[in-house]
Amino acid sequence: MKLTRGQKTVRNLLLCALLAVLVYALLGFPPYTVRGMLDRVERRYLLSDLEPVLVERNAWRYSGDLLAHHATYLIARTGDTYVSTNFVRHGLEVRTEYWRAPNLGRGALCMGLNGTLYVAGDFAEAASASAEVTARRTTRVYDPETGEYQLTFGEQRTFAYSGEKASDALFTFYYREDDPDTWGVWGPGTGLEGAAYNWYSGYTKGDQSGGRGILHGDLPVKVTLYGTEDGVLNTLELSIDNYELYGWR
Amino acid sequence: MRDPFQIWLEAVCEQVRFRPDRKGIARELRIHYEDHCQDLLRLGWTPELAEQRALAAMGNAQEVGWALDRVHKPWLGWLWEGSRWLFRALAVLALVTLFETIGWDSLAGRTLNELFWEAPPASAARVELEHGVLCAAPGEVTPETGGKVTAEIQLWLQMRDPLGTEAYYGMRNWFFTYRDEYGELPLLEADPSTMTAAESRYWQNRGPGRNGWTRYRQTVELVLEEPPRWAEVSYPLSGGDWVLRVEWEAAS
Repeated sequence: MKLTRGQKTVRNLLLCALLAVLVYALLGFPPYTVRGMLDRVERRYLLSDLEPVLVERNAWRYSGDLLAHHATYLIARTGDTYVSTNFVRHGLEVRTEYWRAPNLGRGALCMGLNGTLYVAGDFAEAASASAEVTARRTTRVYDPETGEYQLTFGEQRTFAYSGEKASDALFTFYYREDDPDTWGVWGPGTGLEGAAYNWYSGYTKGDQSGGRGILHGDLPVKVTLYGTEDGVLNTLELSIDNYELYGWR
Repeated sequence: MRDPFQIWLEAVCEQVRFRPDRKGIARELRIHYEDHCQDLLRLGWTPELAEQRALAAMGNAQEVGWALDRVHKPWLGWLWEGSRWLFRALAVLALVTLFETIGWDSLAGRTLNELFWEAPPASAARVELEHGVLCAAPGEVTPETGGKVTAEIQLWLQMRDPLGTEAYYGMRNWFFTYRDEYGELPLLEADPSTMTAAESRYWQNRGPGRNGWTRYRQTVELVLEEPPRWAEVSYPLSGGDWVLRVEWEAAS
């Protein structure tokens, strides 16, 4: 049977639709909008009715890359459950939880990104807030002969910041030092970003390469909320992974 | 002096607005014209007369051109061309996606797990959630060295809509909580150096799970000091107040 041009066009377009669905399925049904990302998080973590609290985006391109990587960092909430997650799009592909593991919390949650600490919660009645983040020098040495780890703790330091109210559900605390003392990052004069990077180290006994692994560590975050008349409204005890506190991802 | 048929042919083709078809139309008309000439030559006509007669029989160039233009509509022609290129581009994209992004192993693995998913037993505890159905059933209880026991909980999650590639690795990252008659169990930290002696009771995922596109299967191990009688699975962070209770038969 010889098809007319119109019939061939219809056939081609139907095949294109099929291929598009196939590509979308092969890519893992990627979400390209914030709403789509929240729907994905809802399904992934069996949540419902998530509403965005924070949407932050950045993009970068590696040398030799034709296309840029576009990251979307989200904090969302449903009821008193808060979730933070991230999506990275490269071309048509969208990777979920690419840089960081998701974080779920009840009542409040904090996330660090690019020199800013974001704290999400029900802050409708809070006029201002302060945050104290405590870093503790932590070193872990792995002994390959015994297969054991030795964990030692050093000095600790608390970094205090005052926050800006971004919305009734979000405070931001800027902690990046504009002119960091790069010589001092190993010592007690370091800033929070330097401490998060340099104070959590993993070594292997007998390793001569000089390599250092960066340990994951949960840093306590104490957030104090103040009302309009300087009275303390509430205090939140949270924690944050040191990986979220340094760098720009 | 130019070939009169060539002049006629160009006059026809100029009327056809969909340029990509002009070459094919010219070829078709030329074959038609040459066949007619051959027939007349076989009947004993001279070449000059045969060409003149055959050309005259082709008709008025403009009228033929207009008629052909009506058939070869530019919008349909471009739509057809576009559909061909789009199909090729999508086919290449599908192949690149298959090999570069998801890979055969993940595609085949998820599809096989989806098709050959072992359904939960009828006795499994079950809860209907907004996004699917979660089932839990007790598994084996195995004695371990040091007087501990390992009790398995089998989990099945059937989603209404497929999840992305990140879910291929299973339900490991769902934030379920597990408790037995002595209280809630902590998750075994991935980093053994942060384990403390107090964490002698804990839970951990066992194996990567068998996960399809919408159907997920995971075994969770409770490491306990004595065989459990029951355990409960819940998910307080989801805001739901459901609890799945699994019970082990008492050892005789």
